[in-house]
Amino acid sequence: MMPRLDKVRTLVGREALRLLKNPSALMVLGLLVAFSLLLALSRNEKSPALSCWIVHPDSLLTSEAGGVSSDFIEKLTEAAKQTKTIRVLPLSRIAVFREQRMYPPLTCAIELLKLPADDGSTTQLSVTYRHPGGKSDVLEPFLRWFWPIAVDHFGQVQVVEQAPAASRPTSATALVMERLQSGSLKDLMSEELAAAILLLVVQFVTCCQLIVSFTSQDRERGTLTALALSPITMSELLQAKILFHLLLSALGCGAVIAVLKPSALTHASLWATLLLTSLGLCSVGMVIASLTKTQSGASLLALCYMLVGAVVFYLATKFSAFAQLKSFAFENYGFGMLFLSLQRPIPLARATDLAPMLALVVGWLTTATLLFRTRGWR
Amino acid sequence: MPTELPATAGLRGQSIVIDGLTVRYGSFTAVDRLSLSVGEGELFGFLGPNGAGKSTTIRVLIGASRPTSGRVEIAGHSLPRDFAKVKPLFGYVPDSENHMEEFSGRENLVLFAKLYDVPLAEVDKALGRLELSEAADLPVRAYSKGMRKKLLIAREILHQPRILYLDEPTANLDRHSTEVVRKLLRELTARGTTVFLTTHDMEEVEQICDRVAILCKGKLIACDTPVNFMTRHAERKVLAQYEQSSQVLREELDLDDDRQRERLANIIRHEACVRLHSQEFQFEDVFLKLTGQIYT
Repeated sequence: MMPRLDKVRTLVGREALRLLKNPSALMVLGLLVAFSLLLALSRNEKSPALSCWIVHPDSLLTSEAGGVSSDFIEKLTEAAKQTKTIRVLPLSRIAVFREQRMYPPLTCAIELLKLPADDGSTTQLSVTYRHPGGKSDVLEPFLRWFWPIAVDHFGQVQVVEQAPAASRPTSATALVMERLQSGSLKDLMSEELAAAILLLVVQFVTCCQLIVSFTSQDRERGTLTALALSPITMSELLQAKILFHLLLSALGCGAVIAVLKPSALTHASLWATLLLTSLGLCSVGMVIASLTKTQSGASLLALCYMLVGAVVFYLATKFSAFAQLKSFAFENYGFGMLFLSLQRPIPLARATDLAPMLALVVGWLTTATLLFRTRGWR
Repeated sequence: MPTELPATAGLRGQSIVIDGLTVRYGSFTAVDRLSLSVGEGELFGFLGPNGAGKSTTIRVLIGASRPTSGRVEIAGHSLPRDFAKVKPLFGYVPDSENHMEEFSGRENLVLFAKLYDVPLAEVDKALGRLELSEAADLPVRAYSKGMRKKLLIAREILHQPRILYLDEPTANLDRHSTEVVRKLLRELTARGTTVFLTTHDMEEVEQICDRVAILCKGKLIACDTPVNFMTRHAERKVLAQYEQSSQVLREELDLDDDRQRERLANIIRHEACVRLHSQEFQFEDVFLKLTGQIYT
């Protein structure tokens, strides 16, 4: 039986009125859009002034070693007094965390280290550059300052061994610590990654969280029974609920994209992915709401769904035996497609991830329809 | 084997026909071979102690539960098969309110008016009939329990249903509102609406019900008019109070017992009788006598 559009419109209106009368739900949506605004603002902010620390082994001040005299440190210290951004410090002043020297945020470092020469009789000076974030060119002004003094002192450049720029920490924790030192979230992740994560959060809130909350509240206080006993069909009720939450999701995602990546608003693959992900999350929400009889039970089940998803993704990425597990989650395809579609338009014919995603979403939607019609309102 | 159909709706067409209805939850039988019929425009009372199976029966009648066995017909349509056809024909006032609390009373009714294709002018009429016009634009969460109940009734009469199921319609209502609702129910039945109600108020049963069915442990134990119940089950008793040797004595005497009737005559003739009080039989006593328990 075809849905009666006037009934569906009435029910969508009811959901909209309900949202407007629910300040906490509105606040969550407002905060998500505000967060994307903040991200956009932090992307456009001017780069803050960096400082540079030149650190040296303490022994360089007191003794000569392998032709390196403390005069060099004295020259550097004297020259540094002319600037406000360069400091010369002994190594002992630098905090060490997990064998990594830690510097304050927005600080570059030129580390002078003594290395024994190949013949073991002399000591060479090794220079290591460190810089916050992923771009080494922030060191350039400090190198322009450092190199003339070094050449002036040593006469020849080759006395100084140039180490690779900023050795990369190996552990994930150290990597994050180093990135965090840059003081900017935009350096921690690309803007497409941030936008893709934010879009998933907006969709989860509008399509899964709100649909679970509203539907289970309807069920708990008997409103769903009252509606089910009216002349509307269960299909019309389900369609109205899903349609409203899809519209809400489109509105929220549109706002986030407009703020963070306006050029992506015209990417068809992005909207197709958003539609499928939102539809999938709405279906998951309806399944959860149909399986539980109270609002608190539904909230806990929604939390379980999130945690199971996290465990599946962890297992799939850590252990090859479970690698196929994530291919059963439409969110897996959704996230990748969102990320890529935000970067550039992908012709729908070449967006191969959409096909398995569509199959999974149809599966969830069918389950949601069956459960809602048979036991969702009773 | 279904029990024999009790007093039926007479010559009127039948709105509700229940034949051999059984509802089981696992090994527990909530309704056991229930058979009855309710006629068009009849005000039918459905009584029983807690757990008797009243709510389960109503849930089957509104299509919210499936019977284990038996036949249910609503206005000629079989349930649960013709659920979609039956839905527009009835209204259901549950015992616990199920409004959208954040909406105003009017917004609640407007929504249902649109779903039932009822002109919006009917909303104000329904609010007026239940004396809710002044509070119509307040959010329902600000309503008292009685107002919420009246709003439920207003919502369910909007589309002028052929059958109205009410689960304790006058619970939480003050005396005046109770009278308003009873008057409304009488008006509805006068226009041909069938009213099927459960109540804990025995006075209500006596006053407004055309027929009453009493259910106990899932089984129908009696079904008749309140007057017939009273006539059939009434016990005629007199409380006599008299003075004897400076002491006041009391005796309860059954007028249907020859020896006790003679004893009463002796008291009147020979004792200093100070008080004679005929004990009127109440419907509650019928209920107690039939079910063996106080109505809770």
